[in-house]
Amino acid sequence: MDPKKVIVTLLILTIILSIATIAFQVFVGGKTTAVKSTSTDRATVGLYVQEHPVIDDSNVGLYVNK
Amino acid sequence: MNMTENSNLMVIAVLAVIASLAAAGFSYYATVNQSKITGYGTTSTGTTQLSVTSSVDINFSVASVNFGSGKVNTSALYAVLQTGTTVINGTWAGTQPALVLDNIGNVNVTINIKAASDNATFIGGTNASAQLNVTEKDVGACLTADRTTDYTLYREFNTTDPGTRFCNKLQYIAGKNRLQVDIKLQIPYNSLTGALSNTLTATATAN
Repeated sequence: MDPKKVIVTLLILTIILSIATIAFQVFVGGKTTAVKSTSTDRATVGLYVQEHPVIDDSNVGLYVNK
Repeated sequence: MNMTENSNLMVIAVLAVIASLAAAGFSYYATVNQSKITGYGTTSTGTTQLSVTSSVDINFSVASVNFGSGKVNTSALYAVLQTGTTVINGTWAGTQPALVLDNIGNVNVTINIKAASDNATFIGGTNASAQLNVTEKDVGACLTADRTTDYTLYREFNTTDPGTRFCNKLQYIAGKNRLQVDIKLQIPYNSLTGALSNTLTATATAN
């Protein structure tokens, strides 16, 4: 086995692993958690309105003889 | 390059690979477990640093007001239904509790409240009115200097974004984190009939 080739291979591996470590830190280790800045909640107001009473007119009449 | 030099280079290169592997493993461990390995302490005291993520969260712990069924008295132009008190000029029975809005996050927040429907859609008729009044359920909940309304004042439902601002700084501290939302409805003799409903949406923004 040629020692020079082994050395070169190992050094290349070193470089690749170092780059992988950096990439890992950038894309995984460096993530920040999104902070929630608003919140909403709902409430209901309800009622039941029955039919309103019907307003009716009435007449009062008379007939006056001559 | 003689044999000895080659051997030295190989040792150094192997060590470099081992170091890189160790660095990659350490990074993975630290990220996955969230617990970081710190430096070795040489004194009996030290400083620990941590960050707590802020969370804006509100919740209507009382989320519904239901006045039940009734009608306007025959002789009256309108009935008044109000939480916390009995009806005036109407047959709706009982007393309904107010809504309660809690700040359950870990930051002070600004509170706006918006209604889904206006008076015409919600109640209808002549001089219909739907109002709300926000007060402190817990004394000191809304920091006095940041109150935006008179606590005695009822204000009409607001259907325009972002609604009406009622408190600039609702606290999150337990025991000082609740607002009370009272409702007051004026139901005219010629209102809509049947089941009527409106939705109030409270929006909290970190302050």
